Amino acid sequence: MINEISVTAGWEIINTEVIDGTYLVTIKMTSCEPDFEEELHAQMHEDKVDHTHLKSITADLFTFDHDPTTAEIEAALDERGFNPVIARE
Amino acid sequence: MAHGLLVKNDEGDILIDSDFSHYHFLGKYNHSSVTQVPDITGGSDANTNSIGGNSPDQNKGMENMPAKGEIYIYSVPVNGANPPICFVKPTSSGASAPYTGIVLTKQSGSNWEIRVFQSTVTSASPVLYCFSPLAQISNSTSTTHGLKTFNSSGVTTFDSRFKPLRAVGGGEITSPGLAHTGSSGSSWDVSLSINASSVSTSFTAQSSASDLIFYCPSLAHACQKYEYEQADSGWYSGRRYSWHRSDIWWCFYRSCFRIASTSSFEANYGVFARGHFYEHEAEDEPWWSFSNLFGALLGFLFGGAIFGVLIGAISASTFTNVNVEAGDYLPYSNSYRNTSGNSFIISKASYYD
Repeated sequence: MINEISVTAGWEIINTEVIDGTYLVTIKMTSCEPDFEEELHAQMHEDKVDHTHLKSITADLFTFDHDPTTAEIEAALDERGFNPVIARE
Repeated sequence: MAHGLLVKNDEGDILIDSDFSHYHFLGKYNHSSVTQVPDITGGSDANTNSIGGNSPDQNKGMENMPAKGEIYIYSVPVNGANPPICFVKPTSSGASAPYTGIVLTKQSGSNWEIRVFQSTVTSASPVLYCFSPLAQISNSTSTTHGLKTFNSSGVTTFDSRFKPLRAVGGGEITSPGLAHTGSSGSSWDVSLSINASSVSTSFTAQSSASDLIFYCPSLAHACQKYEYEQADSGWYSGRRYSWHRSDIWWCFYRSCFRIASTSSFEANYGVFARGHFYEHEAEDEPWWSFSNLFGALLGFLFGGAIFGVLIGAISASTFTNVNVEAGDYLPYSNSYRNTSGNSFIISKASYYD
């Protein structure tokens, strides 16, 4: 439902291929604006207050010379600048 | 070999074998036309012109995409089932020369069509030096002496009156894995340019790099994509809005090669084909629309603002189908193929000019 975007921010592996020892890992990264408190949110709608529920999803390729651990994937995501939270302007 | 002729050098390498159909110089050919793979693009915009809020409209074409290489088409007049071996005389040599490779060889009537891919567009064009078995060469000669061999079926296999294929170097070369490493883009800005380091291998040193020609068909290829998607909804200037945009950009890279020096041969990629597809839908409505008022009325009657919000939300689309499926447009994604064991042969243009 568009006014209650509930996509969970975070990341997930959508494809992994291993060629000659290189791990080609395609990762989907989802970022969202923080949820409003429920009652405040309802009031904002009732009062037609300008506000957004922005989310963005990026799918990109990461390479590793071994099967990466979760910590290694998260380090690679950090290095690429992934932030699950979109700062509300 | 019960009978015939076998000539070897001091190292035991075979120079002439009457049982083997030696390749002889057929001719030197310029391209007949130049082409590029057309961009594969498309987009669907629905109701996005009047939408309020922050609906993104930038980069819906091929902005920031790396430039494609050119494909030179040659028609080699050799009529027979055996394809000619075509050496490329590149437009230049050295560390900044474009990469070149044969990407297609097919029989077309009484000719063979050869397509040569070059990684960047240049004013000069590569030239082909082609070789074929004697049985497919119709060139005549007035020379009346020399050495001619036949196989057991009586077919001419070597004739010293025609220039033989002379290799001065060769070996095997691999191609890089991925053509682009690192981030593929940020937000609506794609970044798929080739940044792989060239793979280099050496061959027997020659006196002049600009005189060298090479045979090395393009086998390796890579395909990489970048996907980005945004969605938003809410209120803006008294209007309820919702939008969703989803994009996919991709490049298909073919391996190609260059003479880097008098003794060095290099492999890398060129952008052979590319594409960009997107889907963008949006909707907005003023606060006094039927659905918004109906939602607010229910909320008032049943004592809950949230109820009003939820009913109101039904009026605008959720756009859950705004997705661009990669498999519909590109051969494969984020991978590479056939990067190892590509044989190459080096010869000299001056032997045949």
